[in-house]
Amino acid sequence: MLRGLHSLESCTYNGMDMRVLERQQARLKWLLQQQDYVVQNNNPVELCVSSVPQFQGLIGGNLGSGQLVELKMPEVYLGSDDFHKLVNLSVAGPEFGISKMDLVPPEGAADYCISRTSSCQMTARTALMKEGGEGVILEKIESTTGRESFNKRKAEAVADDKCKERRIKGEVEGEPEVKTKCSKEVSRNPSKENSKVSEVQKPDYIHVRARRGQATDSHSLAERARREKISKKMKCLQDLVPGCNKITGKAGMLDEIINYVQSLQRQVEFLSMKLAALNPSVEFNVDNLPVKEFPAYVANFPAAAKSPAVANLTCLQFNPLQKEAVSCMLDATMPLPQTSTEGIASASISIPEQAFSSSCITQLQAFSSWNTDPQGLNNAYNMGFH
Amino acid sequence: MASLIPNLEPNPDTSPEFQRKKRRKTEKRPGSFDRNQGNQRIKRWQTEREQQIYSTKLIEALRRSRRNSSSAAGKEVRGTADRVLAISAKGTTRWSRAILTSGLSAGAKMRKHKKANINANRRLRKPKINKEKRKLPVFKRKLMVLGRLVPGCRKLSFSNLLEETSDYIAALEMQVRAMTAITEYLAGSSGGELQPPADRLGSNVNS
Repeated sequence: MLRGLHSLESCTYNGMDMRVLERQQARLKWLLQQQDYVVQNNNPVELCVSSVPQFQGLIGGNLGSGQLVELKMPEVYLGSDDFHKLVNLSVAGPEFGISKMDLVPPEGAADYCISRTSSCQMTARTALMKEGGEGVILEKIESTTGRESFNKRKAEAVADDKCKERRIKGEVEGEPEVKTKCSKEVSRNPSKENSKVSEVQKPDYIHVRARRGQATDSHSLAERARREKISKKMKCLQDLVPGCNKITGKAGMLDEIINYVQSLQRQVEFLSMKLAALNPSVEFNVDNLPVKEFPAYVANFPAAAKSPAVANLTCLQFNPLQKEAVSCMLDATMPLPQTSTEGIASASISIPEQAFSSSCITQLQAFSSWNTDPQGLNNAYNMGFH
Repeated sequence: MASLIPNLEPNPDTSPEFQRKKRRKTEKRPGSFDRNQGNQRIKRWQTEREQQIYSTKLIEALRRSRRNSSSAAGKEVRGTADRVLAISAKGTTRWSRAILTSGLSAGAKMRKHKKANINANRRLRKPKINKEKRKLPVFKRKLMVLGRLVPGCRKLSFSNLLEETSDYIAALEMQVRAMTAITEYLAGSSGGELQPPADRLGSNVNS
């Protein structure tokens, strides 16, 4: 094995793609051979774990350096029980912190090794190895368009997995550091997703099945929940505000909402002005209202009870302030003897109705003395006392 | 006389609806931001009964204020109407609490002082060079505008603001409906429309 390693090493320092291909093939074969070792020897694997940080650093360093050559080294050591190799690798220079390296399970299928490597390495090769097709790997290796493209493909490959497991945030954050060359956005997802695909052996994980094609980071999950909450509330608002069905987008909706609230407030303002204008005509007009319908109101109590706001007002008006109302009415109408007959009649109408109470009758008589429209008054009387 | 007043006033003992409301109250308070409870609250504003209660209270309040200060200021009426609306909300929402506490002199004075200070400082400092950048956060601008419209919601998160806005809109709609009914009725009566009282009673004035 050591010899094989040395041969690989000799190859690594050339850094040419063709060599890489050769190395890949050699590595694959080697790894398959290593399966037996992995199955048999659990302990070394565990020991490897202890040196994992170094290992991870190595891998990270390799990635950071951007030399495909060096990347191969860690792959070689996966599942191996050769500590010498590990030591050699450690020399390579751990520049990066924790990158994810999960242990190869004792079952030690080649797939795991492959997946392991893919979790650490950001090259398409490793990702494809994870898929398990050598031919595929080779094909993709040939098209060395760049890490970004590889990463994208890897993302696609990973996204094909419908089920992903969520990792602790800290671990995921370690991933992006590894990729210095690739654009962070592109690399981040595949790195995270890769790490998630690999085996979990730490107990603190919360496993959540994410939806297809969506990141499963705790941050993004929380973001998604928040966004859904907001969209629910926006829909609720859409139902309230008329004419918002066609508008999509929060900004447009906000505009509509603002306009609607402003219009409602203006309406309230206008209505309050109107109410204030109505007030002087009657001692709080309300008191007059019942006057008109008082007789009928009393007669039709159940009907009044059923009618809405109107009846509401009438019941309120029925209070001992009637006398006040009458006096005010008189005050209001007295200075207007020259107004149109209609106006006076209208004013008088309420008074005759108020005359329902005995105390008002005298006032009514006084009023009728200067009423210019006796007929109107009579009519009012008739109507009032129906 | 009191016996003649129909049972439209919010008498907690008698009406079953009100008892239901009481039960609902205890359920609502703990999770005021829950979806269902928010919907329940909003639907409450759209009921006929709520409008009746509001009209009753409004008329009472207006009468009282009329007695105290016989000025027919529109602002006064508006303030009364808003406060009665806030009372009808039973303090479950932020805007209602803000309306009720806005009358306190401390709050009003604070705002005046703040405005004065800000303006003074602006003039003393150099004029801002990069005025273009002010309008950049368009979305946030709109949020601020909405926050200023809804009382007491200036510094609120987006989702909370939306919740408050929906409740506020429902309440405002009810307020407009109730005040329209009142004004129409009063205008109708004071305008002297001669309708037979039976008809008057039979027909709901505006509906």
